[in-house]
Amino acid sequence: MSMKNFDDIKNVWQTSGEESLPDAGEITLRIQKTRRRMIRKNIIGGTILCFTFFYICFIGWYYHFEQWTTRAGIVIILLAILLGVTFNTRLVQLLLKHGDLTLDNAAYLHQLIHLRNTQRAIRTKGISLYFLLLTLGIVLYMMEFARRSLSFGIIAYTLTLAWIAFSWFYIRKKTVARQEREINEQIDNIEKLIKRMEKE
Amino acid sequence: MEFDELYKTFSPKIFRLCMGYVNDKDWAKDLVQETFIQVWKNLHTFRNEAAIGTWIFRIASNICLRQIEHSSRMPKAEIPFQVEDRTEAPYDAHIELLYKCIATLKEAERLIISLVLEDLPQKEIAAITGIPEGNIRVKIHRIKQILTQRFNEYEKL
Repeated sequence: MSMKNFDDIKNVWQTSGEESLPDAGEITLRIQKTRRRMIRKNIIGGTILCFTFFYICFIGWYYHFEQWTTRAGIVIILLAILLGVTFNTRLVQLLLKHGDLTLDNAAYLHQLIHLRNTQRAIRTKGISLYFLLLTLGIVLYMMEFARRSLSFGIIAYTLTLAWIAFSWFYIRKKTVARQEREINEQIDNIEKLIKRMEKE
Repeated sequence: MEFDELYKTFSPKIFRLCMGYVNDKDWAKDLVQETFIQVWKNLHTFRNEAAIGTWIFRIASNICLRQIEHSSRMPKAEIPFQVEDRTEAPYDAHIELLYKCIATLKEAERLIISLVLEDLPQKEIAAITGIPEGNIRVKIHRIKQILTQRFNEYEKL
């Protein structure tokens, strides 16, 4: 076979691409389906959250508590839930949203690194803060009941704190470690790619 | 331009770009779909600050580069290799060989050469990749040489 020059290669290239690609209608249909699914998911999630939130508000309002700690506990638990949801939606956004794809490649990759770093910070700091608030809220909330009955107090506090300790030292640690590993690998890959792009 | 028209004009070009990047037909088709979903979603933000082609190529190349986040799905290089099926139509074998040669290049080089093969001017390639025009000229010259050399080498195998 004869030697090819670059123009021959270009001809080869331009004859390819006759693959059977789906038509435009299929693409828009897929977008609409995804959109509907997302909306449904958001509505379900939002409803559950609102329900929980108002239920806790109702308890705080309906029952007459003697100590300020109980109400403070309720407020802090609500804050923790709100915080958890904010972090979660922000995380989902970051996961789904991959930055501004209309930027040029170099700018896009830098933006992607920034996004992943933010995601990492939210995950580690956010989870810790959520746990701390939740623990504090529960401890405060239970104080009043523990004072009424010592044996109840001891059992309830031991069980609750044991469960929180387990979540904190085992579940949280394990989850954070796995997520960190994944995200660090992603950041590492992108950084290497940027270096390769800039070096040559 | 309407979405349908954009899709008709650009989808074969975007398919070639994605094929050049991943060298896997099904994966490339997924990337084409992903690109046009993003085009559809972002079309209202397009303000003629660049040619629509440049804009679509930017989205497609960013989607290609983003694949690096999923390390389990790395582009196939498969070199050294034999051209497996000599009984296929000669052009198919050539196309296959070309995609394989491109797959041996580095990520950014694959995108740059695909854009060159699409006959895009250097200024536009610079605007897509974000690499200064002076640098891009040198790069293009070097990648063209490497690709031509590899194509001829592997064709002899």
